[in-house]
Amino acid sequence: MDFGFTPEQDKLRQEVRTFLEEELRQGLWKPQSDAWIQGFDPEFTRRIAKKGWLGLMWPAEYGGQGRGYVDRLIVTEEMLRFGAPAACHWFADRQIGGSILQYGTDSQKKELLPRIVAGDVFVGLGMSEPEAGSDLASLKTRAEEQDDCFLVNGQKTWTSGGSYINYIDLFARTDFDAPKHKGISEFLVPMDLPGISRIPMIDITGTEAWNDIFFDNVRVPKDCLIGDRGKGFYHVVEELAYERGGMERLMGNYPLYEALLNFVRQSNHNGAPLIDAPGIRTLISDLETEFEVGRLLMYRAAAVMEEGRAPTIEASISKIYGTTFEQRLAAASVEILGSYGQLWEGSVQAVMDGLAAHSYLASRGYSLQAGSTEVLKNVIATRGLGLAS
Amino acid sequence: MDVRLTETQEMLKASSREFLAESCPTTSVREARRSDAGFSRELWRSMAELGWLGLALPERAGGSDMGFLDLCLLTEELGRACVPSPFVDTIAGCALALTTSGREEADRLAMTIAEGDSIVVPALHGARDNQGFESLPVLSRKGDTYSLTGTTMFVPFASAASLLLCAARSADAPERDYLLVIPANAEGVLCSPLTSMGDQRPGEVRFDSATVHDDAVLYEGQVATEARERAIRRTEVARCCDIVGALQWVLDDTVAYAKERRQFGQPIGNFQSLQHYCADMRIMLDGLRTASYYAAWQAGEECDAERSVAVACAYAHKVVPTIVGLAHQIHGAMGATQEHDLHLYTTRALAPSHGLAPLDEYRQIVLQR
Repeated sequence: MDFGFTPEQDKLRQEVRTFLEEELRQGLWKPQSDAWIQGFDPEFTRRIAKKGWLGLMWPAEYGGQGRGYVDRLIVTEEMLRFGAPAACHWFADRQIGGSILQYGTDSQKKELLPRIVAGDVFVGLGMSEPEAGSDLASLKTRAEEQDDCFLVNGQKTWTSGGSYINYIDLFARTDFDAPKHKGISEFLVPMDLPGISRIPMIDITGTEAWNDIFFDNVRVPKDCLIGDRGKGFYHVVEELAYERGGMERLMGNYPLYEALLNFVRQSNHNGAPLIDAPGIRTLISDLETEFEVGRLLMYRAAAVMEEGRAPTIEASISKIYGTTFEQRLAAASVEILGSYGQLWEGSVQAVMDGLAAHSYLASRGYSLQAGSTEVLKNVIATRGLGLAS
Repeated sequence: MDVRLTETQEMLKASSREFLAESCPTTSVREARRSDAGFSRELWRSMAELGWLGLALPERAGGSDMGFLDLCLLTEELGRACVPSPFVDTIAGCALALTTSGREEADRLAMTIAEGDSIVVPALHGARDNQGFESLPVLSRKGDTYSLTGTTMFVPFASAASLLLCAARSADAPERDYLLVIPANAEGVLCSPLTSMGDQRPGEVRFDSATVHDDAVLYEGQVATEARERAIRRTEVARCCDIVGALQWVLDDTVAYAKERRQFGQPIGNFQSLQHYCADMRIMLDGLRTASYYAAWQAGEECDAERSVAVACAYAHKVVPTIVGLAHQIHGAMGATQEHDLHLYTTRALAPSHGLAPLDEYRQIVLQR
């Protein structure tokens, strides 16, 4: 057991930090909560790509550096620490590329991976449907195999990425008589195919957070199929383990955390620094403890991935733990700020750039997206502890 | 970064688990808790023979020179088996503090600990005065020797100890600390057992002009302050790992009980509310384990581990009562009896309330980043 970072890893972290500090200094963007999923900035993504920080773990022949999960976690941790606008590439870099690498054909790898590495492929997730949320295996979108294509009809929902995505990672039913887990296949579908349309959905903060994506007789070329037909659900289960175990589950609203820590140290209340009030000290110290423990759980999940194991249980634990922390942070901020906590960015008298109000609302979704807390507890109880499913 | 145990660590854990299952079943735990000493001297002797007591000591003190993290992994198994013993305090706390002094007589003493011949327990916490300040015993010069006067609190297994590793302060310069060794049966040393819900047999130890010879003073001045802090910190980390082991038993036992106990025609573990309780226990336990391993790793790497130890201890304070509480809820009324073994672990694992500092002290350290 060794919790240390290698000198190369320390160097990588420092490089990312220096780069992001310089970007901030130039005022190229502003730190935001949820910037990993809502901060769309294709130019930022291309600058990151130029640094070689996309597809970091993939083999050199596809443009990667063959580095490990811990290295990637270091890069993403710093992106989150700075609230950098990384949404364009996040999904492709996190899971789609890995799926192509594991299940894709040689020509898919050669065509797609270098483009992701170059920062040109922005992928949205086509998993959930209106009637298939936690029970994803009951999805109904159909992909009927024809001579020259799969004919796709149906609706996907909660797809992040809005008008920026140029591909969708689509899970659709290809075998209609098979048991529900076994009839699903994965496709990487270009968004410009005829018959695909989208309708934005506005989230509780007023942001366009998702799209409904409609497929109306879309002719999807056969070479869009990723891996074997009928194996899609098994890909999802594996991909989700990687999706859940990342630092974005703990540091999604990190800019709020940093703002809050500065605020309690720099602000006075009735003539005394806020941080000297015993109740505030307790709240902040408990958040710090929870954050440090959470950070270790995230690195643990990455270390498990590095062993070559899918971190099914570890990532479920990380995600429940991390999102609970993020929500507690948002609640604590509002608690500390009182009436000022409700103010939006730009309001007269707004404090902390309105981050508290934003996060208080935005964090509602954290314990739902990528597997609800309840579904994940089921996973831990049944697959981790062997209780009956 | 690698969170896997090394082959040696795996072997250490597996062999110690096997040995303790054989030699310290819960019937023995109960018997040891009822005994005068509060632990089995026979088992302590076996632990010495297995090399456990000298595991992390340097070879010159009769040890095997393994790491502090290795020692903590062994501690975890002792917690899992609920073995009552001064292991955490004597081995993780005192023995290592002796050998870092670089004094030959201290090495010799450490060797007798490793061999199981002497039990040195820490007397590192002074009683609180009426203003709530912790005041260490006072050491004053008296001719050729020193004289020690004052009261220390929560000295574990005080009545069974042969020697005390005692922290003191100078009578003339209140900033000057000492760390010294004094026989538990020396004249002027009075030990009064406290009665507690835990299994550490804490005592109040009073020193009334007890004589301390020059060569018994291991550290003096700033190094004494640091050595005391390091000993306390190591004890705290090892205690956290002990608690992790105890809670692992609690979780395993609770899940097993949920699978076996039937109500409404099925195992109660089929009910989602209870499944989620079990998942919650696992999440908190994984957090505590990771934080404790990390703190143990840091404490062994000679990095400044103060904050990571405080994080582990603060987190222990927060989650242990919750984990234990859920275990009791799932066990139903059986868990509230002495017939069931759960109570042994409840009293063991609640150590944050009787083996660590109060939560707020850790909170203040966590804030000093």
